[in-house]
Amino acid sequence: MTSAQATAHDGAEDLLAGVSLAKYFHQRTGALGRSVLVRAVHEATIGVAAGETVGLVGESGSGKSTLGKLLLRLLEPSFGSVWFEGREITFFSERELRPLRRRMQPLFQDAAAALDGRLRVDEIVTEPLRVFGARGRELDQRARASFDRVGLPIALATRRPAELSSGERQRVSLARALALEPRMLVCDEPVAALDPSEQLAMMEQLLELSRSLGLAHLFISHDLRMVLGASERVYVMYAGRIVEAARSDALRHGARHPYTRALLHALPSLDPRRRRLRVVVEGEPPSPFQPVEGCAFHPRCPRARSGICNTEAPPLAPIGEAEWHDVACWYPYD
Amino acid sequence: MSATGPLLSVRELSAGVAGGGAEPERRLVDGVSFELERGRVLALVGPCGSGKTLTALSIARSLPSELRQLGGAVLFRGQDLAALPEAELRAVRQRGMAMVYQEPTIALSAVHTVGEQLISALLATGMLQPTLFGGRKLARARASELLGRVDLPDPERLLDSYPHRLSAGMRRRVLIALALAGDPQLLIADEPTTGLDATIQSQIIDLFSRLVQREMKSLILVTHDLSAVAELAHDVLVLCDGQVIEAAPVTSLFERPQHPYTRTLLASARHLAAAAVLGPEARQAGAALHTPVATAEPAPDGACCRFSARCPERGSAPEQHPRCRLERPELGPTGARHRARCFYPELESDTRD
Repeated sequence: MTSAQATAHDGAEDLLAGVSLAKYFHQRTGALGRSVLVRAVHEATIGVAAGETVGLVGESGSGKSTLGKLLLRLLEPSFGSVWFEGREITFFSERELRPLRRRMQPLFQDAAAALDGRLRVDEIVTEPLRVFGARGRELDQRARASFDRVGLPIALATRRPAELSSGERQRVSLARALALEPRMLVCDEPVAALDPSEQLAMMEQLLELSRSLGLAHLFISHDLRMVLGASERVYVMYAGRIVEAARSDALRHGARHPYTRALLHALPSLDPRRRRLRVVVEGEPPSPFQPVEGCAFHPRCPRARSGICNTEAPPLAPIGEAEWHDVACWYPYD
Repeated sequence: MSATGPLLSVRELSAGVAGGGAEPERRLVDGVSFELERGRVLALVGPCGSGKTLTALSIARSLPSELRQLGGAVLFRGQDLAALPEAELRAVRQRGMAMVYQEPTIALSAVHTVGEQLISALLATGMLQPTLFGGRKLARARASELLGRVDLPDPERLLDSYPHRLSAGMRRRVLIALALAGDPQLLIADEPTTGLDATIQSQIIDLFSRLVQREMKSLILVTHDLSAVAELAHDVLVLCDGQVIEAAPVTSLFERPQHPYTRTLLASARHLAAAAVLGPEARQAGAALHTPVATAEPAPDGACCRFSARCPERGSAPEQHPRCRLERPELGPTGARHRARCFYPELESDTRD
């Protein structure tokens, strides 16, 4: 994908893509309050090619999970289009979507909540297969293959979710998502609830899957470290907008947006002898209920200048010589 | 109230399902001991299900109704909490110690404003007497002060906002403000930095560190975020299967981890941090480093180390670890103030037999 295409994207060339996606909610404030328009996602264009791992980073409330659900067509966009396998699916009915859903699967953070506690693990993993008509031996074989693929011992098949560790439950969710042999996995905070050793194991697993099965991932997380460690390309989201998009090595060494820079500089150390509190930017992102005039980051931004940053939201536009690097900032870093 | 001695002394604390009839007792927290002085930070780390949150809840006497303290004692300012009459216990919970909850959507009500919730927390402490005239006004002024103490801007306006209208980081701060309502000496925070982006995470760590340094608050930090531990903690307890498997000052733990689980945990965290700098290719090259240790396989009972079946080091060289399957290790000293529950710790000077 080239710079020019990142902004003028038709969606058809990627496996899964969203073009100028927006999601607005009407929300009432208080018991008698008036209804307020909340812009959860605003003009987001994003694409994941077949077999590619793409990161989407932003903090809770940035709109990243909403964008993930828009792409999966679990939410209706207020504006924009969704593309899968080269076709626009924005207006597909649930019936038309059904066969596509086999090939694009979600994996959410809270594995325990997503799993039905009354079912055995093997029933959970094979449930989507049964829904799509698999029976008997075929069901059995595919269940086994799913267990193997995610490194889950077959001995756990007869357990219930409550008897598993959090890492194992997350693998059950993954096995379930893989049972239908999808081409695309949208993972929302897949490792946030795990301890570092389980996080590492799960990340290895996801990366191994993209290599062995050619599976494409959209990896959504608040943790830039995790996203950079896993993805080839990264989108950074802030207050409902994509503010920077680049290859991960370009972001690591030359982030242009002040928010991305702040995220990188705020990465904490693992050395108790070198405690250095790096409160690099003060303040909070704006609440979606009280949007900020101009660029949403300007109240916290060290480079903001009055006159434009506080009056006009910067568009996401190509920058520099890199093959693919977009930034939404009036005064980006060099 | 005794002025000497540690603020909090936890002795052989056990908690879990009481059992009865055919049901056996199940200890989810098993013989945890530690002391915490004023102005100090103790981190509890371990995998999910290791008992770290339950240890914190036992101390705060907020265990879920189906669980009980099964043994040991929690001494706060020298007093055994289990032996305190209800009224005094309430006073301790309102003014002595406070939980900072992880999940704002549970701890904060969606139908009351931030101000209403802070004011009711303040009134509940009993430190503000609601008088007919002016009581609420005073409470509102105190609530506004609390919001200022956790670095929330424009507190007056915030008091009239509903929690769902705030950003995630702001809600986290409101939870800390709620915990500060009774001006407690001990704060117990469960995963206070989870889910926040790095810029907000560093602000929250900074806030806790000021509360500890300037106001001499003590903090129990329950987390799996090792960078928060590195930034904040003085001492660390590593838990596994409800037991303390390693206890040490933070630098000693990070530099000379003794238990195989702790070593795996630190190596994984460092590996993930390096991957962020070097990219996915470097990460894949080091993939063999990891041996999964967290599983729900019930820890074997009887005379063996509970961790032995999952231990990556024993797994790779069982013949060099003969005692693990024959005896149960105690939490024993391995260095200055450093203890580990392992027969084969990596001692600084080689004193293995």
